[in-house]
Amino acid sequence: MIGLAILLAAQGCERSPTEPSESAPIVRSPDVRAQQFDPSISVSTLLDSLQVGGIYTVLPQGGYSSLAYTRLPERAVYANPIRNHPTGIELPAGLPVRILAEGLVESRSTLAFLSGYCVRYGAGDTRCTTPSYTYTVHGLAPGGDVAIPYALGTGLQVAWARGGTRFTAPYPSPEFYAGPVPSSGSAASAELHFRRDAGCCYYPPFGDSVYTAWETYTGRWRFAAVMDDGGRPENGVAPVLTMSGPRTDRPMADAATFTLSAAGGDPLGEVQWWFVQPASNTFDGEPLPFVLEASTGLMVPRYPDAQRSVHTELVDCAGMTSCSFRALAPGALVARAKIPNGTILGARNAGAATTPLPRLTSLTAVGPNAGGSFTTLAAESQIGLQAQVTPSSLGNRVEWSVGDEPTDLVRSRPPQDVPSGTPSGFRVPAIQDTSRYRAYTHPGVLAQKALALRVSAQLTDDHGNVVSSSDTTTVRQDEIDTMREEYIELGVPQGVPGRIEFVTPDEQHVSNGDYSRALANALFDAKFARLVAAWTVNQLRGTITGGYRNPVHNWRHITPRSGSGPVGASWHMYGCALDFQTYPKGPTTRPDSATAINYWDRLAAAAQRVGFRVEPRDPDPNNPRRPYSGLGHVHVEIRCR
Amino acid sequence: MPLVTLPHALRPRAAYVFCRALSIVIGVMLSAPAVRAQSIDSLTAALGSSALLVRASAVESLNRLPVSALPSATRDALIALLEREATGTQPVDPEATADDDEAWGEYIIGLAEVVQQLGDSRALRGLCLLGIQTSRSAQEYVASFGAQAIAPLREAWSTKPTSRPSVITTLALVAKSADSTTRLVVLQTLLAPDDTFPIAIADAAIAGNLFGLVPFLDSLARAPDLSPIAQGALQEAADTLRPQLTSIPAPQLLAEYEGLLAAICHNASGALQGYCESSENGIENSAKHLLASSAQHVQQGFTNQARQELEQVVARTVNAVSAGTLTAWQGIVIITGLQQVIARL
Repeated sequence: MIGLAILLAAQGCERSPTEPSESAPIVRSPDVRAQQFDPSISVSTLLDSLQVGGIYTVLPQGGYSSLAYTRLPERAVYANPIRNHPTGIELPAGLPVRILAEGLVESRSTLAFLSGYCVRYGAGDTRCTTPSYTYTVHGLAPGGDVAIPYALGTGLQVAWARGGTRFTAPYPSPEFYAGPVPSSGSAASAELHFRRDAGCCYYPPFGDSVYTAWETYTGRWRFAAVMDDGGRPENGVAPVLTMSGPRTDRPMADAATFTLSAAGGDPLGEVQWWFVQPASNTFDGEPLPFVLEASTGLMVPRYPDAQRSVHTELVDCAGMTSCSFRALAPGALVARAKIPNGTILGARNAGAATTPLPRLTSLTAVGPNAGGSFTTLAAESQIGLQAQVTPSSLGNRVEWSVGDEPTDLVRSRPPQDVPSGTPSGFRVPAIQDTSRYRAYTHPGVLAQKALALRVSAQLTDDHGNVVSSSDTTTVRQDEIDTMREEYIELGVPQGVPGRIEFVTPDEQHVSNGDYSRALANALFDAKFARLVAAWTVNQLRGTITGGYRNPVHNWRHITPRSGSGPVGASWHMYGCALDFQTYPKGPTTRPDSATAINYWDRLAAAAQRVGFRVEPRDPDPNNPRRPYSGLGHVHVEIRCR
Repeated sequence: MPLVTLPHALRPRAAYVFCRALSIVIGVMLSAPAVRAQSIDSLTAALGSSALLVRASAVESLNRLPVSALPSATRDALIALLEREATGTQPVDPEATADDDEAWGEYIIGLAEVVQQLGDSRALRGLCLLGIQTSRSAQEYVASFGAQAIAPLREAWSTKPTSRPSVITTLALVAKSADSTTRLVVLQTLLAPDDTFPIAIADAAIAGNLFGLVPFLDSLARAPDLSPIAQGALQEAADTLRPQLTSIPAPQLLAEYEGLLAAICHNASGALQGYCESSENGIENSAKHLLASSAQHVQQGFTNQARQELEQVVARTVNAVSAGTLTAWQGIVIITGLQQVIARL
């Protein structure tokens, strides 16, 4: 983070030998030097020295460069051409600025921080910079103060931090400043970190009496305009330099052509442009990525370095009154130029503030079931699509793309066509790839079974060109619908259980399936409760060896020597069948076998008395040596659907 | 139909069988919606498939249709299929063999149910041989045929030992609602076996509401050679029926045992006939006569005489058991029952 240092000086004057280090070069006007180096001057005095029409030099060091957002009677001053990029753009040093007007400073609460950031030296000059999330103060002199101007009401307030003294109550509060204060007399660079909390940045909330400013500046101000906003008129005053083209204070979808023009028809010189990709800011609803600063524990917004472009010189624009150039990639565009009166102005595209760039946001794709899930059942396969389109009149220009979600292990079949416009929707095709059920090792994970479709959308213009693209979103089956999908795709004859029939397995609703849910049936449970009550031999619930099984699980168990699996019509798949262990387990002696048979007989008879059906005693002809129902267990069931 | 055909010659047997079975299952399952959409004729044809899972799926699909929608050909096929499964004449499906596989057992449950719902007496044989093993409902259905069910139940008893517990219970259900002649026959059959199926007789007593067997059940429950599981079942049945036994007046209780004795003696011949009906040395002391006389004395209030006659029956019964004329169970039924009556006189 680099701050913006301003030193006000007359155009063309030489540097003072008393200026601080080169890291903060200063060019100033001799006629204000005396005042400027007066250790007793305030910021108010300093700014009062600015003359309308005078040319001064701004020495930006990057960062957020907005000094003020003002409403002046004579002329608009818009201080920050790149206000949307408070942490990401490095401004070149040596920008001359012109005082455009003077007037009453009027802050806007929508601006996060209002004014410059100043360092006042006890025996030297005062340098004002722009506060930034991380600001480096170089060469803080003994006794030097740090001023943090901020907006309050219609005035400008400045909080001062005295060198070597930590901010104390009542101001700034911890949310205002949480970093170290450079010690008095320190010659080393120090960083000041300012917390940016939601809704309040570098100034306290209005009307909060806790925050008492140390100095308050009100009244008429002379003010230095650093940059002009270009095409955005303020109070009817045209900008000095304009740039036309797509508005760039929000992410752009494609490269676009911009035109930079001097408002007065003057030729341009030294034209440069650069852009930040993607364009984003903390004011327009596109938050910057916040990163943790280890030294302070504060989260501060940062543009990644990779998102900044290099500065590009537009040599061919030299001497032209208007120059067009094309941004080669999406992003916020920033440009600057020099006009003959010596002023170099930066500008960004303004566009028509009342005609926002068509945008596509807030993409949603939701299935009809709880949580937006779905199945391929006709009544549950309709996916609703919706996108937020600005302006909403362009809703019919939304084109949808639906495909398999590539991050899982299922090849979900997308629909062939999706109607354009928003809202829209599609049906998930009923025929899906059932080979997925053979493609994993039992029991598998959800990503190997659940259907999921990735959805994206694009907004097109009259010519079919894409003007905005959405992020992608994925509509995905939840666990319950993934389970139900097995019944659907595998055509289990008894049909598809409803979502509400699924429960979390417990001692009674035992699951031998592949999921964290099981099916329960009230009728079955009631009969089971009667059986439990009638059964006095042991704790029947503790003898359950087979409960719920999902259909695919049954496949596995139908395989020879792989387990106790029923057919595809098994009531185990509906929570309407249980297997009970018989005792003694695995009898090997004749008495034990007799006891086991008695146990089987007694339990089977008891189950039949309460209305359960049981497997026959007849041996399975496929395995005639095996006694009825395996002897090892008693299978009970009801027809519950 | 099968979705995958794997080159089994290149695979180990187990892997091949796994894949083959899985492919059939997938095929069957995937075809199920189509099966539902198929005509009943197609479903009927599927009943003849050699693949167990195909038959099972067809059975379940047919089970979901109203019985009235099933044409005679389908009914015939279902009845025949159950009978084939019951008699072991249905070809074995080698693809569905797993040590603990429940496929066949669950399929039989569904098959028995759909056949039962047909309400066709031609299904009696299959239901008796196999269906009654799956549910009390099937047993009650068979029992509702009364005397008509006796022959197939006897066939099941004699040809399929695994069916005997279910046959016993079903016979008790027949006895519960049949006419007196049929009841005699049924009770005779019910009391004929030896002590092979103690749990079945306990279940039958409850199913047939045979409260006269309570003393018998109590006695069996104390038999030291029975497993605790069996003892518990017998005691449970006795306890279930005991309230009826204790609330019934002595004359009616005696009549209950007259009925049981009549069942044991029904169409008796040889030594059993002697026990039941023959006099000794010109004295009318057959079991039936003594019981009848005892009942008459009870009615007349001559309880001492009645008691003496009953004790004579007990003594004769003990001898008959010792001589092998009566089975142990038959003997215990009469002896313990009459002792119960004597105690109440």
